[in-house]
Amino acid sequence: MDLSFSAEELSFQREVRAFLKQNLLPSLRQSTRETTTFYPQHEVSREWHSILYHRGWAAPHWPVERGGTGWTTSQRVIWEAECALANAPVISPIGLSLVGPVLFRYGSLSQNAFYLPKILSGEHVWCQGFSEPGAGSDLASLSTRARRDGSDYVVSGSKIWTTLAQHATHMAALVRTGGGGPKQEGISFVAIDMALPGVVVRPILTMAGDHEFNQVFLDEVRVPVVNRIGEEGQGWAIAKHLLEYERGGDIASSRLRVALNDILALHIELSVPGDTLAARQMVSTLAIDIDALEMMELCWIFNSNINSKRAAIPSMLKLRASQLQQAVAELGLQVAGGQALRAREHNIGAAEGSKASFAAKYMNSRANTIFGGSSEIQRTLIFRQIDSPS
Amino acid sequence: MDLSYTEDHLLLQSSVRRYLHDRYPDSVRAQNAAMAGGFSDSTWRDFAELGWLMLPIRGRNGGLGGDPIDIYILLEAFGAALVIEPYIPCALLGARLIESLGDEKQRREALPLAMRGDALFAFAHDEERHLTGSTELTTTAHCEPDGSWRITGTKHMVTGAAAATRVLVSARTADGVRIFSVAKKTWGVATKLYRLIDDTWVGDIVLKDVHVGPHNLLSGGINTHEAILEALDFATAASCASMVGVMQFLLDYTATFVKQRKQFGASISSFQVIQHRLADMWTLLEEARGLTLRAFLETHAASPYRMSAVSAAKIKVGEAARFIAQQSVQLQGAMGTTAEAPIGAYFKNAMVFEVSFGNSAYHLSRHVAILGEQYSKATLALAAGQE
Repeated sequence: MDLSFSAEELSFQREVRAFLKQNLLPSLRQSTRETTTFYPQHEVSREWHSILYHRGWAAPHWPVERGGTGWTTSQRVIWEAECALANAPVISPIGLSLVGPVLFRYGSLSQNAFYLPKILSGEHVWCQGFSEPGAGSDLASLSTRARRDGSDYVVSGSKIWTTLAQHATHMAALVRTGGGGPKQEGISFVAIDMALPGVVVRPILTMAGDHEFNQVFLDEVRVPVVNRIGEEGQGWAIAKHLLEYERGGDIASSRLRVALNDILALHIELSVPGDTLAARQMVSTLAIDIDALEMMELCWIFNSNINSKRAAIPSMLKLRASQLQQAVAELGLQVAGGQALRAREHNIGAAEGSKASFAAKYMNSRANTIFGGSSEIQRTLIFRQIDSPS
Repeated sequence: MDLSYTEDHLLLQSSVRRYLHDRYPDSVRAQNAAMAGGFSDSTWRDFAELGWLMLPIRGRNGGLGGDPIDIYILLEAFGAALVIEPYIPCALLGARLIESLGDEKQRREALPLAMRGDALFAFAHDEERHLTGSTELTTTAHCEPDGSWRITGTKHMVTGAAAATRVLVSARTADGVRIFSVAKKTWGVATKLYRLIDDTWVGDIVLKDVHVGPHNLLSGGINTHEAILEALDFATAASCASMVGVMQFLLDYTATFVKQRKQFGASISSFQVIQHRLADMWTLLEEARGLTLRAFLETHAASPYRMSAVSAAKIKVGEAARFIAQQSVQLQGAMGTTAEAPIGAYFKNAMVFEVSFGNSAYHLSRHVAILGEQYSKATLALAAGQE
């Protein structure tokens, strides 16, 4: 058991640092630091994705034959940590980490040939059409209908909280193709071209005024049956596989640590007398929690055998990562002080913009414990494993 | 980077668990607790026979190598069984100080005895007013013209004092802090033993002009202060490992209890609040486990990283232990508050953990100081154009 890196791994670390130093433009770094939403501005994402794609590093976790890098676990950990340290933009994972893996496993040859290269290059931008106004935590109760008509499904209904739908070219949607029987069994997974007639995207602003979420209305959208991924009625199984696969692959701790360091730096810069010790203690407390999260993440990613019961860990990771994102945002706002609460139009210039972003980050962070499986759902999932055999 | 136990680790784990299951049930623990000083020579000899007293000692000193993860595994199992034997103070802390500060002769004399279980060494360091690890000791040692020493002072709550044959006393000399190996029976040494609420025993040791020879001074090390910090850090990590075992027991016991307990026509484990409480307990346990392992893995790291990792573990394990112990009582209802309830012993063990090797407040101050230093260093490095 060892936390240190080998000579080869350190050499890889240097290679990654050099690449980032050369290719990660200062404007992209600054953009990342000021991002108040979960994902950065679309243009920022596109630019960075393009740079990575040309280096062959857009999808490190994909199989090599599909365009992955073939890195070891350690190398992937190093990559994530260095990207976080350098403030590289976070690229939306819907295409690369959700649709891609679904296609590997359930996609037909022609679907894979068509979609995968464009996910890799960033030519296609995907959004996730799962939640509905009436189906959030209880996703299986979704009611967007897909009625078979010749070689098409006619899809009607509405998806909500669709992140980045305003920029998406495609939606990975769960729709109801079957009737009667248990609700899970009538669900299918389809790829919907966002340019099709009947697709309407309506922005939903967060209380901070940011546009990240949308409601997508589907009004008799004709989706070719060939765009269904997997079998009819297999959608729920695919979604479950995906949600389990998707969980616990991230290293949230690296980004958290960078954010906390920025807050500490801001606190020192502002030098508020009398507040120093208390603020330092808050920073230490969060640093300790982030270190704990990191250890749990590493144990998961490296398939550690120290724990015989592993199935609960991805839920613990999601629970803690989201709680810590909120705690860091809360501390940031506390340190930034009253100036951060001026409305957006008064915050001009890099320094002011940076401080002002703390208010929006704080407000937007409240969603982190809600989406991706709420904290309440995660706790129930964790509990279910307590009884499971070791 | 590797986060897994080796085959050898797993073998050690199953053998420790097997011994404790077969040879250290509650009745043996109670029996040992009732002995003078809460120490069973026969159990200690079992430990010696199984090689466990050799685990912390390096190979070149005749031990089994001192792999920190071996110690983690041993102590996690000890904690789950609430082993009251003074492994941490004597087998680990005392022996480690002799290893790092004893000269060759001292090591050759003392360590084999310790590993065989024939001698036990307790570190008498804490005093009423000073914090763990600080060097503002009031115990002093004066060197006589013939090279002998006279030691005067009072040490408080020395763990392992009851079982120890010799105490390693830290004292302020003209040359800074030094450690002296003193037989408990030496004239001028008065030990008052008392039992703590968790059935472990500690002693207050008063030294009145205790006269020892030049060979009683541990004279092999370079920096006594650093050696003390390093040994205490390792003992702190070890106590965290023990608490991980305690917490795992409490969680498992409580989870079983709520499944069996029926109220309102259902197992109370079917109630969401109970389920979520258990989920929070388990999550905290895994955080505590992760940081404890990290503290062990940073044992040999440069001292700010090691100290920071150990303090982080102590703080997090403290938080987790308080929550898990409290909620275990809570979820068991009124029965959980009684003397009869098995969890009471674990609850009290957690209370003693909090004040051992520096409490949470102490470690938070330490962590804050180190973070501040590291931050300054990092900013200076960046300013100087390095990476």
